[in-house]
Amino acid sequence: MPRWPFDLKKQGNTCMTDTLDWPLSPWPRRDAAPLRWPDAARVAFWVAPNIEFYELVPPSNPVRAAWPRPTPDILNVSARDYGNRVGVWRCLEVFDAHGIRGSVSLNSAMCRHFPEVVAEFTRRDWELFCHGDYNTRYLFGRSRDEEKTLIADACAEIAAFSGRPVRGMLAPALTYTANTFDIMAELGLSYTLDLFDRDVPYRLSSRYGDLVSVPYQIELNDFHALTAQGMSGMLYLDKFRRHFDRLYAEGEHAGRVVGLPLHPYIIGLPQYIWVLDAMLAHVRQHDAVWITTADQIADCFKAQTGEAA
Amino acid sequence: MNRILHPGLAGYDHDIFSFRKATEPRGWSLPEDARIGICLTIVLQHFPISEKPAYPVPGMLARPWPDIGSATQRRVGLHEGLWRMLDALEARGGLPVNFVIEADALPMLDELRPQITAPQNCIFAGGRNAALLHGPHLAEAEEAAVIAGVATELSDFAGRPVTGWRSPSNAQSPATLRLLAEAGFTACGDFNNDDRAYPLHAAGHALWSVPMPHTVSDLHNIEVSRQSAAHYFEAFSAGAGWLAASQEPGPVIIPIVLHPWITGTPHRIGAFEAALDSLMARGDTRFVTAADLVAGEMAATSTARDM
Repeated sequence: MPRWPFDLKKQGNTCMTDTLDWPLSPWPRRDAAPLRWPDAARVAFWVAPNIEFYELVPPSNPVRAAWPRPTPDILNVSARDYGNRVGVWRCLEVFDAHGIRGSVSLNSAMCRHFPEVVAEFTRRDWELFCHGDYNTRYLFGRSRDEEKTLIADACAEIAAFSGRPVRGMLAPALTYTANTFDIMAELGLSYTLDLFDRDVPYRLSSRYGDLVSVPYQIELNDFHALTAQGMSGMLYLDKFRRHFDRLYAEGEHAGRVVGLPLHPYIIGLPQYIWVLDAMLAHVRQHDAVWITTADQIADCFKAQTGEAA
Repeated sequence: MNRILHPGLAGYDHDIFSFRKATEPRGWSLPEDARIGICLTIVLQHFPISEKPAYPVPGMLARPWPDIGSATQRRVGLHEGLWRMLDALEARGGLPVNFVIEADALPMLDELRPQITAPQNCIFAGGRNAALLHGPHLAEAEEAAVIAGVATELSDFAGRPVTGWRSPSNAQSPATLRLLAEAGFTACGDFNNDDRAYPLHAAGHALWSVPMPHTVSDLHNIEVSRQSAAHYFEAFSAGAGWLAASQEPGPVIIPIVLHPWITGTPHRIGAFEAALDSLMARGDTRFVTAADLVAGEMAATSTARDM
């Protein structure tokens, strides 16, 4: 496998010798054995609310500024705070109404700053996976040791809060270094949610041990649809239904995954919360759906595909 | 500036406001015990052709000088676009709204003064103009002078004290809240984190945050995000349906922030009118102003204190 020495100094990385094995996994084959979900489900469906803490004045990062405006960036900081004050409570009501239990993409700092928010999910027996410590503290530009300490500490804080080990990770603000996936493997994580190229789980290269990719599905992420792409709620709902229906049809022959990444500060707004309700209602209208969590998807995949090569 | 707190502490990393959950009881109610309050804000702006904001903001004049095309497109917001929206409100019994007015727009609004300043409406100062952003680039004395001048001009226009403020583009300096409080303002519409009014910590002064968020505005959703007017406005009606039936304690507030240079155009005004009719037809909805929200929260605080 070729090793690509990217110009990491230009990216702010302090370690000139870091390299990234790219791509991170073997090329997929169409003739691979189809996945089978429990009870002959066609689709494994899981929900990933991002429960995040955004700092008003975060430590500076050499690669990317946290906020586009000078301090205090009241507009952008307060917009995200809407999630913990208002949005998450509406989301919980919708999840409860549809009997949905999923996996929380958790900034570990929330365990300290707003534990009452995190407790609502542990009370409902949701899985908690690591999403860094703060969403304003990126992995960009960190030394290997710094990054490993950040991730390890975040996982430890979440595990201490929930009483369960953390089994997976989504990089904070989707920021990475050349070392991120090595570190995930070294820390014994079971899965990563950072790879957006497939609708099924897959193993990373043998360099990364037993680490598998579980589909997080950036296509359905409310930030990308509603904020980055500026879609209306109606179009986002239509997109979700089409995406789900297609994978449900494909799932007749080989199990598929539909992941729904959410940000309560977006989907919880008055003009969007009804969309979440409609999306989950659509899922519940289908019989052959396994409502599950990211760690269960990873476990089911590993059980079917055996040990890492 | 308000203090930045140690990241190890519970709660926020600052002391600008305290945490509150939407699940907490309101302690007050709307007239006829209406379930939903629509807090509609209309922002009247002036875009100076020879000034640029200190940093990029949505809706700014972004083309090389003289950006006559964009400037005249924005001026629709002070005549035809505004006329259409005022007519829509008046045709529906004079619905109460908040007007956020940038002071440099006042000379163009003299003819419309009686409609804008009608007693049911709440007038907010919108800063000097769309290009004069508040931020660390402004010396404190300069910012204080801007605030004082705007306060005087808006109060003269309104014929009554104007004590509400919403900064151009929700932009603030580290000193803005304190300066607003010291200048006698009692409400600020810059924060995007709640649909309800809540108290801000402003150097010991009483200052309320009121919901006029950019996130629900036509500026963000139509101008920047390119949503259709129909989808933008219909989404609020759909949201009202969900919120009305939800477990969230009432009254549930739906803020909507509009700019007449966007919503008042001929191809969009119909969607606005349809949204007003749809929300009014629900029967569980009442239009409220920022002043109503603050009064409600103050009454609830007073009741709680008396218990």
